Amino acid sequence: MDADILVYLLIAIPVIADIGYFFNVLRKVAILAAGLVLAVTLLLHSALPVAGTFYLTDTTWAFLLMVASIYLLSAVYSYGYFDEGAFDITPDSFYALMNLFVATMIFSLVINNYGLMWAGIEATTVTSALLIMAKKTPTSLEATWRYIIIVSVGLIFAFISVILIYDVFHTLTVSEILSAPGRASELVAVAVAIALVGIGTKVGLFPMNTWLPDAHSEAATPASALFSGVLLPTALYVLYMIYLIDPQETLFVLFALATIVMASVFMTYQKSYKRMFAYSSMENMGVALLGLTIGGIGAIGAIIVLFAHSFGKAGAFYASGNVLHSTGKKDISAVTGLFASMKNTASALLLSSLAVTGAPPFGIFIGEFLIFIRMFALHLYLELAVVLFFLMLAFVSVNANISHMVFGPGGTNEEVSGVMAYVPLASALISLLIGVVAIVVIA
Amino acid sequence: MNSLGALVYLLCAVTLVSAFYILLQPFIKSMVRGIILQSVLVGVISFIMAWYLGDADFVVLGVLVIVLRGTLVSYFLEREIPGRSDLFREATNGLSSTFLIALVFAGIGIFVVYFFVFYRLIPEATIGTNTIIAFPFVLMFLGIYLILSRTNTLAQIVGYVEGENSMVLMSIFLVPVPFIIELSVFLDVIAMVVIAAIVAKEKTDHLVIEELRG
Repeated sequence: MDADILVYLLIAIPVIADIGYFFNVLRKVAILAAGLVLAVTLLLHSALPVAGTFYLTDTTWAFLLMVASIYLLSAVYSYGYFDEGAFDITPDSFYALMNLFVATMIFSLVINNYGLMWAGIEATTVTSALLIMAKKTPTSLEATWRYIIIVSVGLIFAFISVILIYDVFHTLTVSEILSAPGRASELVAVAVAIALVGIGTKVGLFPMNTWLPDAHSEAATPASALFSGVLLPTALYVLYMIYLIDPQETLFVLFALATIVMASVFMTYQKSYKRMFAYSSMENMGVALLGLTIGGIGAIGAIIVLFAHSFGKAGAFYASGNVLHSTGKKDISAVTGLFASMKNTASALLLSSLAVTGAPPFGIFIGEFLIFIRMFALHLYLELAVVLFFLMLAFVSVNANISHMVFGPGGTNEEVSGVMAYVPLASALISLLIGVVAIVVIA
Repeated sequence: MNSLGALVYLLCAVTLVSAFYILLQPFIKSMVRGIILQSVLVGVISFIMAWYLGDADFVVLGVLVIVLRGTLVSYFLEREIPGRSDLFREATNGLSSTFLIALVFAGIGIFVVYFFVFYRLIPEATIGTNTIIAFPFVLMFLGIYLILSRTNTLAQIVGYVEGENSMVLMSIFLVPVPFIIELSVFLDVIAMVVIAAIVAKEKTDHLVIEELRG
């Protein structure tokens, strides 16, 4: 089948699925749509590369696969999630917004135009904001507002970058700009730097990260998984496409390092496990940005990190959602003895925690290892030492807290039932599988 | 500079005055009226540029700015003002100090960001000299400052729309981006304001919440 038709299908399927809203069958239709999106994504691989209305390379496809996979997992998880507990949003409204959210992410990834990529990223904010206030508490409303206003201001900056790119190249077509000879100029360098601040806000880079822990910790669980697992990587992809116009290595490495350092420090004193995982997402984005910036085997490492992060972090948020549902508590110190009473959830939480902090042989470990090799080859010894130290700090912080929650004394909580018990575990195990496959391929 | 160029400079200056006016209003309704005026001014500048450059796209752009931002956005904002809309005011203190800090922000916009970076790198604008690009920069900084200095949801939305107005001006003066992009931006902003208005209905003020610290 023609590649363009497949891409149109990818964007259209989640949108068309929303018709199910009017017939009260959206929950089932959305799961079917998510499955179809994953199938079409897999089919699309044989049609790569694409450069017309859409621009797709192997890298784009990897990001599409992340979005499609986490979309399916979140759609399935949500099926059970909304049967348990009271929400201020109906399940059908949630699914309808989630479908539009996924469609805008796919659009941002595939469109062959920097201006429309910007519009797509802005549209992800519009479609996802209401997912944060599934329960209308003062905290979730504040988190929603911070998300809207901080990200929107960041994207105003990003639009300056789009205008400057158009001023220089007189086109916004990605494939044309990336194949233009002699792209580097002072004005383009400024455009790329402004994009780092603007789009970087959506990626959660330090110091523009302030919306991220609030939104991730307050959103409904399936939305948290989508935010962390695929929204941040989608924004990172758009930033990377702008970076490729005129790579500003030093600046990008500096922001990546600052993000890793600060996220690791923030993680050491978090009281809420969801906020802790949110900062872990920020750290993962810093590592991925570092890998993409230094290129070569580092870029391959970054893709592996992002892929494993998607599943690992989605698993972590699903498991966190189960814990919150069962205990009603967000504080790390208030939750103990999960393994004694919630074996599936506890196992998923522990595995996800190990996955996102880069324990071997999970995918993030393999990806980070490739990035370290590249840093060593480029003689970035000081940067490597800094990254290693702070990643170890993050590893200890997160896993010590999760160990307390899983293996601590007590344990009278009730395990969740149905798909909610198995989706987190499946997600964490896929992250492990990515690592094993990566080892086999590299070996 | 010809008379049309001079008129555009004058209207840009009035646009900045409208930004300062908005900044100094404690009443939300006055702020909304201020953003209507500002959007209409941006629309009029777009019409003049259509005449000056002989490009009909600018007419459509001007109509979009006036209809979508000057009318539709303002309608959504006014609808969400609680109680007696003409009496609803934000509990602000020290508007004169706000004005001074706003001047500093405008100064940063002009001198640090514009003159040290863009003035040198951008040799020409679509009208007048490249100094005209300083106006959208200052407007953007004032919009951001409005967001930073206020705790009320509606006031912050007005700041966001002001920032978006500055992007329209920048696009007009630097290089008119393809119309499809402009249209996408307009639709995004409208949708964003609608979503923000939904939040504003539930929560009018934004103060520090202990659970969201750190």
